[in-house]
Amino acid sequence: MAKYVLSRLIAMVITLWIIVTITFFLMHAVPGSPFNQERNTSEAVQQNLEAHYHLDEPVFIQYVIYIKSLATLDFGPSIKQSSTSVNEMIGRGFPVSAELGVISLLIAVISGMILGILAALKHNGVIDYIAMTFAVIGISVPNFIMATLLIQQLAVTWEIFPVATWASPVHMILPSIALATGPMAIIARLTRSSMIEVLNQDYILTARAKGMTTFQIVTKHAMRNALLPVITILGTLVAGVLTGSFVIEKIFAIPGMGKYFINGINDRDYPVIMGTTVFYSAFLILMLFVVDIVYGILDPRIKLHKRGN
Amino acid sequence: MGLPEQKEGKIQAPDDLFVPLRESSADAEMIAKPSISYWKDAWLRLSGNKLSMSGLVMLILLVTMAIIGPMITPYSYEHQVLTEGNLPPSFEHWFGTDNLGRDMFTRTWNGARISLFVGFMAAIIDFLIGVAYGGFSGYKGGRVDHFMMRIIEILYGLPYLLMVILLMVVMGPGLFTIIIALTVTGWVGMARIVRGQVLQLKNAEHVLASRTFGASASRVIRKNLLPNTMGPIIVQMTLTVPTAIFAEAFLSFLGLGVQAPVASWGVMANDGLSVILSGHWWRLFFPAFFISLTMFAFNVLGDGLQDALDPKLRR
Amino acid sequence: MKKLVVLLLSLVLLLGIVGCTTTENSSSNSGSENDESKEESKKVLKLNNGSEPTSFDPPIGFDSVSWNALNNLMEGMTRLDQDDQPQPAAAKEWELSDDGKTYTFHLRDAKWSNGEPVTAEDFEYAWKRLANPDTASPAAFLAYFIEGAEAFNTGEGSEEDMMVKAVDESTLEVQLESPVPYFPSLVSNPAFFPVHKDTVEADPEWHTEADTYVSNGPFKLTKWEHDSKFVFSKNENYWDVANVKLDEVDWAMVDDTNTEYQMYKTGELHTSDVPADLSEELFDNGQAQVEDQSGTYFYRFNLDMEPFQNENIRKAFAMAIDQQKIVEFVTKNEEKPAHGFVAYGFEDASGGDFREVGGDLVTTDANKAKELLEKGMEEEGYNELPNVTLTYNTSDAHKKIAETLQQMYKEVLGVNIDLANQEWNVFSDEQKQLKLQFSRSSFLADYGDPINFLESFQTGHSMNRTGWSSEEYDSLIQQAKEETDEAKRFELMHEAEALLFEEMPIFPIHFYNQVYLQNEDVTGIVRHPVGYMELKDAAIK
Repeated sequence: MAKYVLSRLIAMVITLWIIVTITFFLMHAVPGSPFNQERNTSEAVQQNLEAHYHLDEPVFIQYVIYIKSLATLDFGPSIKQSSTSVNEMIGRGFPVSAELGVISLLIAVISGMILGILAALKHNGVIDYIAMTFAVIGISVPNFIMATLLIQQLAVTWEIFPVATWASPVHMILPSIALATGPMAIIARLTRSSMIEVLNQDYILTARAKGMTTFQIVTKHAMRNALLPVITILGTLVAGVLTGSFVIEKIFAIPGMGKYFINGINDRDYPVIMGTTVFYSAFLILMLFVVDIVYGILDPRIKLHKRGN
Repeated sequence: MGLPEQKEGKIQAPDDLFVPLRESSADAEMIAKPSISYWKDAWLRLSGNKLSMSGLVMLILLVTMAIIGPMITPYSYEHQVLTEGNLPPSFEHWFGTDNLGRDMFTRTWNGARISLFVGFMAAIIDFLIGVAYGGFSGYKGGRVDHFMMRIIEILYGLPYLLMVILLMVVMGPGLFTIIIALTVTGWVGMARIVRGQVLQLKNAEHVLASRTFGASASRVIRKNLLPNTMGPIIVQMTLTVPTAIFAEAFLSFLGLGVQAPVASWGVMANDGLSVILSGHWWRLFFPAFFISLTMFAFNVLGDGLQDALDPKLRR
Repeated sequence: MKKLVVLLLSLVLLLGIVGCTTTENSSSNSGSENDESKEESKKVLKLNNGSEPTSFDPPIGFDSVSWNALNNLMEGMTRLDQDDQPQPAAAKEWELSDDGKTYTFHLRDAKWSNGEPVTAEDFEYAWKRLANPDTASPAAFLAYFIEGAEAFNTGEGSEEDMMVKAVDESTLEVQLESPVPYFPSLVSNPAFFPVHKDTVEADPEWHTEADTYVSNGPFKLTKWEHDSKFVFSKNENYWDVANVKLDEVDWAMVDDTNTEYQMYKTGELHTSDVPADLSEELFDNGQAQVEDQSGTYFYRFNLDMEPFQNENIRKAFAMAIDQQKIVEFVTKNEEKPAHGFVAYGFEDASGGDFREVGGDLVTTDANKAKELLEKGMEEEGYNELPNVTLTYNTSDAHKKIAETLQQMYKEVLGVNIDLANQEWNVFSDEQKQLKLQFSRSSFLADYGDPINFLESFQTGHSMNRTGWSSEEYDSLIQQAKEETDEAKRFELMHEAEALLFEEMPIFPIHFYNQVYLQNEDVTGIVRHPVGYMELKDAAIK
């Protein structure tokens, strides 16, 4: 096991390095410049700006400089917001995004699984239909529409919640719901479908025959196997949600880090693009690793660290 | 192996009673299906499921409307009547008009062509690549799996927006570019789900049995593993459809998609967001409603398919 | 199963810790906010800055998200009044030499927010810093009016040769390259704001946090939660503090217009932009207000690409467009339709408005457009017009206009054009490299003079982007820049603009404006056409 973990960790560094390299050359291959503004500036000014950020050097030299500073975990300064370093951006944006993300994920996972299990137990019954209609709406109404509707109804019309910003726990309710809807629906669908499969397995029937209650069957036997697809998508979902949602953060004016992913690229703010990519990728790879470990715990038959047949 | 020779025994049977088996000995151990094929049986069970069939009918209706819808009004999807902007649904304009006075009914069905096409294509391509990749990776396991999963991590980690902008610059706008952009990373979710399921199932008794009898990897994946993972695969496919429809709108935003004045459902839903405040609800409602309806149809059809394809539920 | 439970629990716990720590922060924040609101006598204005300011360092923050705030934190030699005319601010008066090239500013007794006096040396330091190539200011080109600044900025000259000098504590002398009658208006631009020399030299990061920020304007920066909000309070050291009516300005950073509007509706903001779909309704019921903005929305032809090498075809494409219809039915923001390039709001020597004197240089005329198209096609020997693609950078507003143009060409000229949208940065690059045939464009003035608009189309200017080049035009602009007589200068500029429209490398759609909603209790906010806001006289009931 220890050997397996070590080999995964080494692979992680290599994977990250490949991602960094591809992203670096990709972003320099894409047309545009961080200094393209609606307002005009002169050629000389552009050159001064490029020199200031070493953008006038050959791309490969820039790459070497970047890798060197990356080795010390220094992501460099943002070009667009010149008063901020990328480390600072992530440092203050991530906790906010993570907080929102954790709340949303908890809502999504708990309610999604409950809905899915209920639907599976009452397969083709009324509860099943209601739960799945719920899920269909959750998936097909995108979160920007959901968010705007929630604000308009609950904040503007009924004045129950504040409209936006990130000032107090009350401010977190609407964005958490808006962000949780999609993942909740997906989890509900996946839980239901794998639950249905598992519930038809022989060992469940045996358990039932032995007189176990439905609750016992679900928690002791069925859940364990039905969880697998949910765990699979949770890996990427956690990484995605915790590093912030651009749309939700924009609509609710939340100072998270979601906007840096999009704005960094739109502004061709090279250090921001690299910093967010490295951070996200590292997080994601780690989560996928955790998922593989959880596979093994959930189902001892799955052995990843032995050579295949 | 071969037929045992009958040299000893109390009862001596005449030699001519024993006709040598024509078929090769390998066939004897073939895991043959009963006369009714798996797919035929699935179809029988699917067609018996009323709800699923209604989903299928809905999809057929949506596709039909996408084809004929724009033709049954006297308006064209692009013709503006600037003085008749933002009219609510009425007898003249069934779905109302948009801010430039274009008929929303015509525009909605014209947009359906793109959205449905993109949704279907994305689902099919994700299925083909994702199942093949994930199935192979999970079945082989070990180093192959390790390596293939690292490739997926790289695809996940690369900034999608950046890739797509470059794609746009290199390939120019168009439906084909959209499909490419959706496929670049679209299949990885499916691949991971399939891989996870295969990892879990490949040590199950029926799979082991099949492997003991020397079935090839591709055969084991197709006949033993996939039918048992159909549930999550179908769910994932149905999730792909709305994701693709909205991704198309996002890609249009970057200039990859079909160009104005053509507008897909996703683009219309995006453009219509501020109508939540202004009260011109029909501009958001119709595209959003049909996206949901498509999604709903796919889901009930998918649920039926899951039941129909699940070998454990076979009669 | 136990393992799973343990794993899940520890995961929840881990995440919970992250959650709790941040919750504590935010709840303590909200606590302090409540304390503040208890002091009811405080006059607090709640505004929205849209997003995190690029920078509060004057030469770096060269955009609207920095300007609105910066203009009220700092104060240049002059400040624009309600009629957008420069009034004495940090300078109490100034003199102009007879050749129109040397300005001498006399500073008033003013103090920085840290109590130190505002000196001429601060100004000299700030202006040289603006031009210094190491500062890498995107606004450096504005300093080029000062003799020696361009050479310094491009690395060909030295700092000493830039002709701005503090004669004594309170006198600044500036020599210009050529006479610039609008120089007092120009120095109201945030790029020319002073900086406190000692602070800047001691701490290059002085402008990044509220604690270290030193300002000389009506307000000082008391709190800056990056990416979230910032707070101004009245600067007690400001020379005219008696006339500052607000105690505090809270700036939110809400990027979404719908949300901004919703916050305005619930009273969380005092002003708001108008969401796209609501302008008609809000104008009808009188809530939306409008202010000019110095800038033009226009389209560029690419003269290097067929068929726009032909003047008559260009004119046909320009005349087929009905600007009035576009502002009335498409943009619906009460913009003024544009029939010339220079916006309204520039007075000549005899008090006439430049635009009104210049008149309509391009008019909507369907018949004439058809005629010109035929003539142009004949000249080029076209049986069929080459394909035309109109490109715009992605935005709903640009899309609407592009779609309308497409329809107008179809109806008026019988020409089917294609539309294409591109992401901003790609678009901007391709337009500069003359890769776009026919493209959406905009111009926003940096300072209040028609020459700022017109100099764009000189040969080789970075704003030209049409492939158009006219020696006559270049020389007219050059003459206008050197002319000391105001009447003559305006005449030259009119001549240049007329020439531009005779050859039509561009055609205008509308002039920009600023549409906003404002709480009835708020008075005295001034929005200047050059793009920054004045809160010095703002008040709230």
